Amino acid sequence: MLFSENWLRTWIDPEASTEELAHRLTMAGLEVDAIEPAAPAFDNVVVGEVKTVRPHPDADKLRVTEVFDGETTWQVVCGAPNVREGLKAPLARVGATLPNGMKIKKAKLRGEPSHGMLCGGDEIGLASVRDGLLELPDDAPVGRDLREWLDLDDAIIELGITPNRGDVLSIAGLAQECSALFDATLAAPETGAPAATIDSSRAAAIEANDACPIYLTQVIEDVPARGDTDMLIAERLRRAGVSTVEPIVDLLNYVMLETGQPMHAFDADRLDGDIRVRWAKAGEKMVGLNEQELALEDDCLVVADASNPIALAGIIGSQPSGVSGETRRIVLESAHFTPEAVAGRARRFGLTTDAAFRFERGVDPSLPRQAIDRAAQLITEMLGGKAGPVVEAAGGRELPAPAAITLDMDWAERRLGLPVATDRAADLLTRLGCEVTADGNTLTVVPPTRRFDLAIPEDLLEELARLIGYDNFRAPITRMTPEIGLPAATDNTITRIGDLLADRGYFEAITYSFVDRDLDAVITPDSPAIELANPIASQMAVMRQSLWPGLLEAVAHNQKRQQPAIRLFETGHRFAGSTAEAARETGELAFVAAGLAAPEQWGQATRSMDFYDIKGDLEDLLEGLGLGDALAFRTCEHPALHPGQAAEILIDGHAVGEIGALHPDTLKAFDLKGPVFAARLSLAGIDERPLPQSAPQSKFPRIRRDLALVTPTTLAFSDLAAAIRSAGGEFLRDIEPFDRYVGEGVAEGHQSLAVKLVFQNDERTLTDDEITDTINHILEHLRQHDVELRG
Amino acid sequence: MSNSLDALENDALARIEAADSLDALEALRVEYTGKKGSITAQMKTLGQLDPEERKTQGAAINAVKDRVIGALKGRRETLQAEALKAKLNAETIDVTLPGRRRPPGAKHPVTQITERVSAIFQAMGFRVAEGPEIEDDWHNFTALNIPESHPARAMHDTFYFDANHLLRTHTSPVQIRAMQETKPPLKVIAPGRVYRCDSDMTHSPMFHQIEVLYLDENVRFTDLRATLETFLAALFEREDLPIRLRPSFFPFTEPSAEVDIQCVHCGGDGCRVCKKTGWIEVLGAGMVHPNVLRSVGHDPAEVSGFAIGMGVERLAMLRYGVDDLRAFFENDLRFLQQFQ
Repeated sequence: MLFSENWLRTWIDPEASTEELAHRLTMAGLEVDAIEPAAPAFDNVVVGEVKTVRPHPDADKLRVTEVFDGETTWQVVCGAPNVREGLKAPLARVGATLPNGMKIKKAKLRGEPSHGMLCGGDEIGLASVRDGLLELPDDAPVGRDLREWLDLDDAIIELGITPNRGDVLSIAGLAQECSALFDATLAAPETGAPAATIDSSRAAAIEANDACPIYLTQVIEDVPARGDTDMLIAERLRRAGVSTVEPIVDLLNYVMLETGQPMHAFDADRLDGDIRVRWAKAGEKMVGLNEQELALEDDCLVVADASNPIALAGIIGSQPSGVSGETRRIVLESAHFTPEAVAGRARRFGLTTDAAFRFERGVDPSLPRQAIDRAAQLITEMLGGKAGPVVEAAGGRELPAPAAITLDMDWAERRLGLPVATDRAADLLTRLGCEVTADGNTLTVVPPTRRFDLAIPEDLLEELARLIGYDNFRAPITRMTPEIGLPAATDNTITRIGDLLADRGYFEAITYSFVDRDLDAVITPDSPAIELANPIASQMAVMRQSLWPGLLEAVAHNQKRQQPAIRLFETGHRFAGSTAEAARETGELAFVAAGLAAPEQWGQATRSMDFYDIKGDLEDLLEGLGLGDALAFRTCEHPALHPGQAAEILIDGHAVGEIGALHPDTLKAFDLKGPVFAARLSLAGIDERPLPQSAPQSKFPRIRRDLALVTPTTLAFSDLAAAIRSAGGEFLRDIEPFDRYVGEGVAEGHQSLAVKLVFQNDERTLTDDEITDTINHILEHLRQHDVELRG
Repeated sequence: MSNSLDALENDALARIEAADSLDALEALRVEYTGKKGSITAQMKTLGQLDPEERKTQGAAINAVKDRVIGALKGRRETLQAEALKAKLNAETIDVTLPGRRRPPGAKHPVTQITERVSAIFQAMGFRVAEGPEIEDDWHNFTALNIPESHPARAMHDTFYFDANHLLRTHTSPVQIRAMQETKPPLKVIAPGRVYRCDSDMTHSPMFHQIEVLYLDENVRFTDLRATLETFLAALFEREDLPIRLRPSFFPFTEPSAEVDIQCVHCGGDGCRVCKKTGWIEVLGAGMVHPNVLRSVGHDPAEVSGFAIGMGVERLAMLRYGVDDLRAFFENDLRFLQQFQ
C-alpha cells in the first residue's frame, strides 16, 4: 500500500521525521518497504500562463511564446505540439534546475531568445511518458511555485500490510494507528453531507442477509460534463498508486483512500429498475469493467438490477452499468459486504481490485454512511449535480459488532513473560479505540468496529506487546524440559550418508520433486505418476516416482558444460501410487556417475568409469554405514538399465534398490552421452545398522593361498564364491578375486580368475597339510561347476 | 724391521683412504688383515724372535692391525654413507607435482545450512521430525487456523492434486503432525521441501523451510526471543548478534513476529545487502495460536508454545553470498564445487 505522507499529516502530525515515522510504523507491524520522494528534486518552476503563441521564423516545429510568470512576461521558445494561448503549464524560469540536472539559462533557439522552458510532466517527474506540456487546470494560480502548489515536497511511503490489518488501508485508518503509536490527537478534516435537493432515489433490497448487512444508495442527477480530475486529487491518487480514470470514479477512489470504504457508482440511466443484493445464479454471466466475462457461480454475491448482475459485490462493477464521460445521472453505492462473502472470489477470476482487497480483509461496517456523504459532497462540490436522499436498505442482520474480550493481566504476564501494569494496558488499548473497563486485574475490552482482527485475548497480547515494543520483552528462558534431540547411534542418518558420498567425490544435487511425465515414464514405465492439477510447466507436471529423472537431467546439464567427470547424489521423497489420496511417499537415495574414473593427471592413466566404479562407491558407502556384511547383488532386469549391466541391491537378502549402466534408450531420452551409471536405494532399507560388537583378535597367522581358476563366464562370481565357501571349511575367512583374464590360452566361454583364499584358526597355527587338503577338497567340489585349476 | 712395519701401515692407510668402493675396501681388508694378509703374515714372523723382542714387536704389529681395522671401518662407513646418499639422490622426485587424486564432492549449500540449523536446535534438545510433502488441506491450512476464505490462502500459491490434496506450502503441517503424535513437552525441528506455484527471479516453485516448535506449560513470548537470540548467534557465529522482532501476521501464531538480525555484512551501518536499513529479515516466529492448539485437542489454558519458520535458501544466500535463487536448483557442478 502506498500513501502520501503529507496527506496523512493533514490528519495527524506527530513530532517525528519521515524516517522516525517510518521506523515507528515498521516496529509496530506496518512494515515500511520503501520511501520515495513524491517528485524528484527541481526548483524555480512556477505555474506559467501562455499569453501569445507565434510560429518560429526559422523552425517549423518550434513556436515562440510569451509566458506570464505572475510578475513578468517572458519570451519562451517551445516545441510542444499542445502549446496554445491561455494554456497554463509549468514554467522553469531562468535559474531553475530540473531533475535531470539541467540548468535553465537564457538561450537563443535558432536565433530567437528564450527566457525559460515550458515543461512536460516527464521533465519534472510527474509523468512517466512524454505527452507534450503538462496541462495545468484553468484555476491554477499563475506564478505560484509548482512544488508548493502541488505539495510536491512529500514522501510516498510504501507499506507491506499484513492480511489482518484491513483497518489501516486508508488515511483515516493509518491516522488512527498513528494516534495510538504516538499518543497524539487526531484531527479529521471537516466534512459534511450535501443537503438533498432532489427526491430521486433508487431502492435496493438485500436478499443475502448474511453477506450484506447494509446497502446505501444515493442518486445524483445533472452531473455536468467533466474535464480532467482536479489536479490535487489526482496527485494524491498518484501517490497512492491509483491511476485516474474518470472524475466520478476518481473521487470515489479518493473517498476509499481517505476513509477505507470501497464505493461504486452506476450510470442510473443504464440500470433496469431497482437494485437487489443477491447470490448469483449458477451460469449467470457478467462482463466486468475490465471487459472480462465472468462466469458466476452460486457462491458469488452480486448486485443486480431487475434483469442482470451489475456488479460482483465488493469486487468489480459491470461494464454496461458503469459510469462514463456521458453519464449525467449516477447511483452511488456504499455498502458493507462481509469478508466471507468476498474472500477468494476475486482470485478465482484472476482479478485484483482495491475493493476486493479491502473487503476480503474486512472494512469497518460503520463506514458506509460516512463515506457516501463524503462522496456526495466531493462530487457535488467539485463536479456539480444535485443529490437525492441517502436510501438505506438493511439486511435482516445486525451490523457486525465486536464482542467483548476478557483479558486477565496475570495470564497476560504468564504468556508474555513480563508484567504489564493493568492501568497501562487499559490506556494502550484505549488509544487503539477499544472501550476498556477494569475490574481488579481483569480488563473487559470491546474493540473498535474497524478491528476485525481483535477477537481473543491473544490478539490483545499482541497489541500490548506491539505498542510497548516487541524488543522490550526480554528475559532469560524460564525453564525448558531437558530432552535429547540426537539420533540413535544405530541410525544411518542422511547426514552420514551424505558425508560418505561427498567424501567419495559426489556432489549433492537438489532437483525438483515434480518432473516431466515422459521422462518419469522412461524410468518407471509400469505405473502412472501422480499428476498435479495445476503444474507450473509441462516438464514439471507429475510427482517423481524415482530420483533418477532429476539427477539424469542434471547430468545432461553438466555434460553440456564439458564436465569431464560427473558424480551427483540426492536424497528425497519419491511418490508412488496413482493418486494423491493413495500416495506413498518414501525416502530414496540415488546417485549417478559418468565420465572419467579419476581426473586426468600425470600420475595415473586416464580411463572412463565403468560399472565397477559406481559399484565400488556403493560398496564403500554401505561398508561405511555398517552394512558391508549384509550387502549382496543379484542380476536383474530394469527398464531403464542395460540388460547386461544391472543388479538388484540386497541387504540381508531383501531388495533395497538397483544399480547399473543406463540403457541406450534411456541415454537418448535424457540427451546423455554414455556410459552413465546410476544407483538408487530405499532409505528405509539402509537407515539402520547394527551396533558394532567387538570379538577377540586371533593370535595365529593368516595363511594365504592363491588359486588360478578357469571358470565358465556364465558362472557368477557370487556363485563361485558360495561354492568355494561351502567346501572351504570353518577356517576359510576370505575369498577375493585379484585378477581376471579372457583370451588366448583360455577356452572360449571361459575366463581365468585368480582368487586369493585366506585361512585362519583362532586357536592354533594351521599346518600346510591341513590347508592343502582343504584346497584339494575345494577344487574337487568346483569341478561340479565346470571349474578347473588353470594348467 | 720397524721401518718395514711403518711402511706397511702407511701404505695400508693410504690405500684404504683411496679406496672408492666397498668392493675395493673389502679387497684391502683381505689383503692386510685376512688369513693370508700381510699384517697376518707379520704376526707369523714373531715366532722367530726372542721373547723380549717378540713382546715388543707383537704389540707394535697389533697396534698397526688395530689402526688398519679402524681405518677400514671408518672408510666403510664413509663409503656406505656416500652410497646411501647417492641412492637417495637418484630417487629424488619433484614433490611439487600434484598427488594422485580423487577429489571430494560436497553437500548442497541448502543441506549444509539445514544441517547446521538442525544441529544447533538438537543441541538445545529439539529432535528432527518429518512429514509428507503431499498434504491434505486440513494439515496444511485448516488446522493451522487458515480457513477456506482466509486471505492468507491467497498468499500461498498452492499446487493442488484434487480438492483435498496439495503439495505442502510450508513445513508448518509437520507441527500439527508432531502435536498429534506427542504430548507436551514437545520440541521438534522439521526441515523439508515446500512448494508454491510461483516462479521468477526471487521465487522458486520448490524451496526449503525449517519449522521449529516448542510446546510446554507456560512457554512465554520472552522464551521465544531468548531462543532466537541463542540460535541466531550460533548460526551466524557472532556472539551478542543484535536481533529485533517486528510485529507481523501469521494465521497460526499470535502474537506473531518477523525477526531481523543486524546486517552481518555492514554491522548495522547500512549497505547494499540490508538495503541501507542495517537489518536483515531472517525468519518468522510467534506464539502458537490457541486455535491451532485446539485443532489438535490441546487446551490453550494448559499449554502454550512458540513456533519458528525460516526459509533455508534465504539463509544460504545470506551466508554464502549467493545472489540468484535459481542457482540452487540448476545443479551445475561449477556452482556446487564452491561449497566444499
